[in-house]
Amino acid sequence: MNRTAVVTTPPPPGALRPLVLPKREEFVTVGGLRVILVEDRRVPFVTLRLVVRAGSVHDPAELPGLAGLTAHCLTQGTQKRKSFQFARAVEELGATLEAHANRDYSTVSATVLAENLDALLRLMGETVITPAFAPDEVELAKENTVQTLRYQRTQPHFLARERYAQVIFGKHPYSRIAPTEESIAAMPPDTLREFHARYYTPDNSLLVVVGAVDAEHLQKAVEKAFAGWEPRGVTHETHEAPPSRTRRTVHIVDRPGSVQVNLLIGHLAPRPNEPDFLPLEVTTTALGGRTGSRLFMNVREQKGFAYDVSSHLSEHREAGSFTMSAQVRPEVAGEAVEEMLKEVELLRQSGITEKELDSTKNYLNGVFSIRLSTQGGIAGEIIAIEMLELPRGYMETYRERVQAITPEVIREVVQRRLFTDRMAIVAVGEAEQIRPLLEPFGEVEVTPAM
Amino acid sequence: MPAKKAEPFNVPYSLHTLENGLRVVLSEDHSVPVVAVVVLYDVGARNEPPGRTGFAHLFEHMMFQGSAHVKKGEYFSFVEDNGGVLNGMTSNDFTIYFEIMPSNQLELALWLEADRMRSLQVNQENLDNQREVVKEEKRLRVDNQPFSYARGILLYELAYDNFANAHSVIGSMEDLDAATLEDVQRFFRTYYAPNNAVLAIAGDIESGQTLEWVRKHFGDIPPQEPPQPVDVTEPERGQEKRAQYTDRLANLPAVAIAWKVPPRHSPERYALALLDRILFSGESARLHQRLVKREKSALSVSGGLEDRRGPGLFTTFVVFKPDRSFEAIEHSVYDEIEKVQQKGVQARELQRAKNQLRAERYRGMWGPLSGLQTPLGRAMELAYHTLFDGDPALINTELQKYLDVTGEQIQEVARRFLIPTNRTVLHILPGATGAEQ
Repeated sequence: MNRTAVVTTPPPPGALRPLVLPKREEFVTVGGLRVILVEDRRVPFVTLRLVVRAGSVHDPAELPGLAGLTAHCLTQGTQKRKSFQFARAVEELGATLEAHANRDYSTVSATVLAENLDALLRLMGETVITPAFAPDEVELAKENTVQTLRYQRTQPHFLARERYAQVIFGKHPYSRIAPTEESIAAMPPDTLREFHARYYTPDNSLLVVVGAVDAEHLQKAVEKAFAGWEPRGVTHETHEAPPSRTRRTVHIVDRPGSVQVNLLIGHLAPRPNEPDFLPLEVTTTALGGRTGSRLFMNVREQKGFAYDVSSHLSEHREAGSFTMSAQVRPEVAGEAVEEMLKEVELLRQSGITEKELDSTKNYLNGVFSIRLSTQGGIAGEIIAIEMLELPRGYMETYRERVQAITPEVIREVVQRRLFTDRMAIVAVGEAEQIRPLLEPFGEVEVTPAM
Repeated sequence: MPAKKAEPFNVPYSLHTLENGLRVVLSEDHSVPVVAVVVLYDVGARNEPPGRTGFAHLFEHMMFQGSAHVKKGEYFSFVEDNGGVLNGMTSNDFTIYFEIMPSNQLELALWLEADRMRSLQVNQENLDNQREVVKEEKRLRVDNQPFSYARGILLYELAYDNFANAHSVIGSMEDLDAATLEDVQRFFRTYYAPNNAVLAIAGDIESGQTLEWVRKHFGDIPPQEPPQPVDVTEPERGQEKRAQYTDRLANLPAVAIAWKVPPRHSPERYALALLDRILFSGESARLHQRLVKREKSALSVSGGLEDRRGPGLFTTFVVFKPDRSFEAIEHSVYDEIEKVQQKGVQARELQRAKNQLRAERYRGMWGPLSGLQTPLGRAMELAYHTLFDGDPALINTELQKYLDVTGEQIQEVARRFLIPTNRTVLHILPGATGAEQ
């Protein structure tokens, strides 16, 4: 055996290898649809995302869930094909095609073997331009949405997210994360058709393609697949800003039978296109965005209170939030909240160390490269830049901008943006059991789970 | 269908075995400066004796608690501070650890994996602490989620007869409480030896240099006596088994069905994998069409072939509307299976299933970092084929075995395995407050 001494210290890194950022090509179709292509020939496969600015934020106030139901029904049959025929046509290509809505936009996502790209694009065009919204399909989707809603209401993390959004976003439409049984009942097929006609237009959409295809070929195929799709000059409403918070409050969702308490703690935060976002992202990562983070090492590794504890910044267009989350056994709910608040307070007092900052930068830049190793990851980055109105060159300059952040910048941003005495504490669990444990943190309000 | 010709795609690799028995698989791809390091150990819940369930998984947590030159907590920070991500996962069949790193940090990842393979250090405090973490993991994943226990644990306990296959990875909390430091040390010696593991490295690497580093860090870790093989054979049961469970967190009924099917190496498994796509994969799949679309009785239908090394299960899980009966749902599932048994499958359905399988190779089936488009996806596939099948070449050649399956073979496996006397049926009744019964 080739005997060598045991290496007792970590080997130093080699020279950093350059990350060649994927080359981005862009064109606009005759009908006004913007298309962004990143040619990726590593596998004979293509990932596509058609993004339409029509999210739950566009739901009329009395119809939460309309964007979601419209996206769901979009793929349930076209004017040419019934839902079964459409699904079969997609799946025979070895493709997937599905649509869903988030807060800011809806996405028609597809993947396909490269050899079948043209056929898949034709199906995508067909379903986006001429969906049927057939009465029986809409009826079934509505019935299943109501059942799904009832099922979601049994899940503690759903209840926590629902209450948290209400508390944080107030009258802003981000406060609604799901439809209601009443709103679903009030959506006949014509309401979906009107929503579709208003928002699903080429001038309100963007097609991102990552995969084994060149620009010339793609342009021809897209022009053909989306021929006849007409721009309509979409306008977007503005919304009242979410309320600013002045004190800490506790919001318990009473869920009898819970063996754990689901905690969400936080308040509003900058949006991704604000200058404070990136330094706060670094801070949030050091606090609870990775396995070696402060919250993880304290609440999980030292105290053993939770399996999962973390913090994150949301990435939405109109308002952001800073949130810490954990699921803990009921007896330690109070102690866990105290530790989590204490970690934020510590950041306010002393910021983060130079060493911690460096390692967090390395982490974020490393994860950035890892994200770019998949087609879906590249598509996701491009969509974020376009939908969140991030500056041009965001991807190209990301690593430099992370690198430029100093401990002073962090300290200032933390002082400006994180306030333990204004956080909302949402807890899903047995109210009777956890109320006394959470009362020390602020005025308590209890709502039922169902 | 007038499609263009499929483009060929192969993963390049090389296989090496060190003198201590460690098998090493390397695969170069320089498109992104990222490398994935995977260590796959031949130990899982199947190796646990009665009274020690959950131990393999608890042990996985211990692997992050420190070794001779890496203090508690440092494992995470060495990786993440240098721009990487890491995790571990325990299943019935295996335990796997991985790091994805910037490629200039490859040697660091190898040093970390070697240090804990050589010299894991555990103490009572860490053991107690991780026991609590695992208990929270169980509360989070199992005890506080509707259907999780019934579908993820009880179904297997009922469907398998051999303890090695039947008991859950998360195990019983009483068994975890009984685990001692000595158990941890013995488990480490027996199973975490180089001759019981495969190391797979894929991504932006230079194979010669990589192999040099592997020898430097892993080369002198002593091999151990190979562990006793586990008997995972399943007896034929010859009759249906039925059970009922009230889920106090669920507000909808569900039925779970499992049929026993042959081990990984059996040729029948390829036909079963295609039948899986025909019944379950996508909205045009037979069971979705029947239960969700035509009868409008189910909210979701899922299931398929559970890919274990030993005897597997072919499962179906249907969450359905409260005004439907268990009998009606079961009838529809069995009726669709009988149609396959009697009339076989259509040629275009078979072609769809094969195209879906080809696409799944690239897309990956368990999240954004899986599939052969990512370094981690390639490293894991190479490691599995090397450990389970003794042949990494299968990463490129196995696809053909799926593509060769005929409609007759699918009909044949449906007839042989998806029969009443070979199945376990679990009715899950909603027991949540406000559930309609």
